[in-house]
Amino acid sequence: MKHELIRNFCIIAHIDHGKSTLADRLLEFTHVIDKGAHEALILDDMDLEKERGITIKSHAIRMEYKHEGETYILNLIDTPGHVDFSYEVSRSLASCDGALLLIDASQGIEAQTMSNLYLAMDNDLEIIPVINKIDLLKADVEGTEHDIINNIGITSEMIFQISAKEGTGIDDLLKGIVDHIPSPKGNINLSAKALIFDSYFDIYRGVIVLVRIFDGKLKKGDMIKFLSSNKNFTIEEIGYLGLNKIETNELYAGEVGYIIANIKDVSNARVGDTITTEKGACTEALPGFKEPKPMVYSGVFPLDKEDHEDLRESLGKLKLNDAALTYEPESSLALGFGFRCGFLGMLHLEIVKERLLREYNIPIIITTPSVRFIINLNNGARKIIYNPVDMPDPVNIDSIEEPVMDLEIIVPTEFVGNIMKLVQERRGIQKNMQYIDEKRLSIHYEMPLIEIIFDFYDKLKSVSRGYASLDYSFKEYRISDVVKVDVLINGEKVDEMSFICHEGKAFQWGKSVTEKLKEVIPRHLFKIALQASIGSKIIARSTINALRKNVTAKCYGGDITRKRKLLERQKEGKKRMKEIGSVSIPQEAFMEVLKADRG
Amino acid sequence: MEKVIQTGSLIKHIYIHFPFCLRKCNYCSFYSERYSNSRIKKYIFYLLKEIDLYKNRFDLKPETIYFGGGTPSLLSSEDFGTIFSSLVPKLLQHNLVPIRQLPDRNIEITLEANPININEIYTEKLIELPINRISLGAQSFIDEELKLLGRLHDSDKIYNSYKVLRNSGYKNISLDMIYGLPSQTVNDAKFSLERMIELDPEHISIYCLSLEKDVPLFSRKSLIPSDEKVSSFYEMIREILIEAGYEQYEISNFAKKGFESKHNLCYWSDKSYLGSGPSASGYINLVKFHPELYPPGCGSRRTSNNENKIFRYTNPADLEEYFKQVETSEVFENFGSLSKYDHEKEFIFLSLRRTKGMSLQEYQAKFKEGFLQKYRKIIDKYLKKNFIEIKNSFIRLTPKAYFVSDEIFSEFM
Ligand SMILES: Nc1nc2c(ncn2[C@@H]2O[C@H](COP(=O)(O)OP(=O)(O)OP(=O)(O)O)[C@@H](O)[C@H]2O)c(=O)[nH]1
Ligand code: SF4
Ligand SMILES: [Mg+2]
Repeated sequence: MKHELIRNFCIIAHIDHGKSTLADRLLEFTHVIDKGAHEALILDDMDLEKERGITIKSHAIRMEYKHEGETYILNLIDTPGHVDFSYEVSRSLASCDGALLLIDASQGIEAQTMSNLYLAMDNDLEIIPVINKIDLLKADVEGTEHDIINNIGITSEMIFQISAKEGTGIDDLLKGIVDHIPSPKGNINLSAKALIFDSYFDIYRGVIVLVRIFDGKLKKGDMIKFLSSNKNFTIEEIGYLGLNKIETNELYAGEVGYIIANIKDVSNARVGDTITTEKGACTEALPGFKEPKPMVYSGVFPLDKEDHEDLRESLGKLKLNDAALTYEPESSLALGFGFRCGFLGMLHLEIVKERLLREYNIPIIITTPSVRFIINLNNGARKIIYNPVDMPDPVNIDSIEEPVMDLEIIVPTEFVGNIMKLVQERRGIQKNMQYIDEKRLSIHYEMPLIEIIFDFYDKLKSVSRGYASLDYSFKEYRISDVVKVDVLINGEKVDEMSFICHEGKAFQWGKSVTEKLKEVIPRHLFKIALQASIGSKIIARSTINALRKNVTAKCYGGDITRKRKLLERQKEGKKRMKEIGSVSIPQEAFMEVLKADRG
Repeated sequence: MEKVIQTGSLIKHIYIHFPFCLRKCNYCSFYSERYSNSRIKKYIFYLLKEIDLYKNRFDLKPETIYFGGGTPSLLSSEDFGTIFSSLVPKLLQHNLVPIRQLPDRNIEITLEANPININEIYTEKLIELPINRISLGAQSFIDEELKLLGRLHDSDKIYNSYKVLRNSGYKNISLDMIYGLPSQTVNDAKFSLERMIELDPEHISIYCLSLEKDVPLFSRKSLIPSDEKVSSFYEMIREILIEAGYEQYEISNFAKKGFESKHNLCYWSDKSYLGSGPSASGYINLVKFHPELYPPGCGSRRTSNNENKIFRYTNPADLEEYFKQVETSEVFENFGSLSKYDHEKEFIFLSLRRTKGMSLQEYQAKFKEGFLQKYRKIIDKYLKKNFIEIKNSFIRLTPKAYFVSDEIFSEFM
């Protein structure tokens, strides 16, 4: 394959701007799939992706496109838009030479439009702006074009206008891809150098490694070496990524494909690693990418103690295809044995929870999420804590550092006041502000992560009637006055509900957590005191009154069986709860605590 | 199905369901149809047929009979006569006639009566029958409440019916009351209760209103007083009744000494009873297992010989279906055997509904294990919180547990 005929590109955009829909159209126009043969987006193949209509994982696929008598090979990667998965975007970018930057004409430029644009520019990619959803009545094509020219610095001839939904403009876009995106560079005569941009585990075939070849070639039977793990394997199968795998003999510089090499352990084929051949090995690794770092940590416990081993196994399996997920054993008095897991964000957490339930049939309890704090002790030692329970005695603490994020919010000017108020409540510091156009502003803030993870996004949407968009990335650790707040149920401390927050927020958060618990814990035969405390100081309290009525008034000869079953059901309900002290706590309580209003 | 259940199957309690009402009350989810003379005739025909089916298989020596409904006071005395002659041997019937004057006699025959049906003309004939206990559905003495409930009578009609019954010589009358109505205040509940006590009935049942989704009053559910309030109504009612000389013998039942309903007690005391009529339920706990008594289709016949066999059944809540089943003897298909495990659970929560509680010895004899040992953890918990107590080898709920009894029962399930 002549590499002049290859185009490697990805589709990037803010969430929901139509990336996966466009991918579908491109696949149709290049006859990889039949037109209208499927209802759901073809690349969003996980059940969860289909149901929620969001892309979670990047997805690579190859197309052949005939143009001016030549057959071009287009390797496309559809990427997720949600901020939790920006890591997926960055590794996709590394294996591409160009990017389609999609912009929803009814929304205009949003926060991830900008952040993804910067990522693509960092990777020196050729960027093709594509205005999508031009079919919509409220589409503002002109305004969007104007914004692109002003903010992205691209001339109007380079901008495409399409409706991914209706297939308008796709032909032109395909031509544009061929014309504007450079063919891969690389020297076929050098020793092989390939970047792993994705890998996943297949129970029949072991680890399947997705690669972009930068130099040289790889073929079946080659002995290959992974530079960072320094492990050797023999290629058993090599091929292209069609709708299914298409086996071939070799992959050349510039091409994208997969390798199967009897690799049992995904950690031997880490995403970002460089592959070369054993003989004549190249020694210089490709830049690769940073390991994705979990941002949010939670305890994950099986609802049913019996499931503990299964949970360990399932987390292991999830981890095979989800490098960002981390886990280590943790145990709790109330919840038994479980794991402290690290997630990229709350959506990631939610998805792991759902997958454990659906794919592995393990219902779990997730405890209040926290972020990583750095504790500077009086004796000069530094301690990193992932779990509020590990907070040292305050008398030994000199200072605590918390993670602070760079935040970008793009919002119509009319909501700026609301946004500023919200951000201020969340301890945000404004850095700068610039106009995207006459009507919209991009505002940069620095804000502690702990203020973002709870309900910031929902609040942001509600104070801007859905118009504000948000992007953030880690900036640095900063010393801060944070405290650990404990939750006490009938005087007993529930470690799993402790949280760390800013001193100034402790009262309010403590109050909303105890109020939330009041809603979700059923009444018992006795009064239940709910308290939040800092050390021994009670900062918030509420009470669940004693159960006063649970009686079958009329119970004679009829329907005894039904009455027994009703009682049995009550008992079943209780069995599903967790007993703390003498209080039965429904599993939802642990999750509900996270939904408590953080004001 | 020939004589599958035979000798040794003595049954002393019979419930008869009469599934007709003049008009459906707004809170009622019992099975009943609109009154129709021809339907009633057909019903009686099949009821007698059903009783005959049982007579062939069980040894019926009634000690209590209960006519419930529906509105069985819609039955004429002739209809009652027909039923009695089928139900009770001639000799015994003869003995029974003067029984309304002798309420403490062994056999208790109750008629659930709607005040609307009671007048001198009716009772004149009724007193010729062996019925000796009347359970009068008063429900409330406040006219607006009666209207809300969809009752056809007002409070004056209750006083009036009650007097007619007394004047006719009935010496064992029970009154029903419903509390916890939408928008009801404690004084409303107290008012009805006091009117009831003034009438001086032998027996009083008090029921906390509970509404199934499909009844008209369900739409007012949100107006029902809070659990706290309803529970305090219950406390108030208990106290006043006890003050007035009634003894509580079950969560919802009170009686003057010696006037507990023997029939109702059978339900909570693991006694066998037959239920006849559509939607009626029966319970058959054969003292000794006789393989020949075992109805087919009720599980294995190869159970060990000395094990009790227990069945529950419920007739179809549909007249046509009921007629069909009686016609073809299919009623026996409704018999389902009760596992020892389920029997134990039912025994516990039914016995514990009685204020005297559950006999630990009886439990031991029935289930061959010690109740206190088996449930030590649960019992300890509730003993400590004073929701149950153990006295004279009976375990029972304390009064403060009555209104949350399901919470406690469920622990034993
Ligand atoms: N009207 C209209 N709707 C479109 C068009 N393209 C996409 N959509 C709709 O926009 C929504 C989001 O489309 P997706 O393709 O899932 O968006 P995405 O960018 O892949 O979303 P993420 O992967 O979650 O970031 C869906 O409801 C699509 O049907 C278009 O051209 N016109
Ligand atoms: S009279 Fe009794 S059975 Fe008939 S509808 Fe009213 S409450 Fe129900
Ligand atoms: Mg998508």
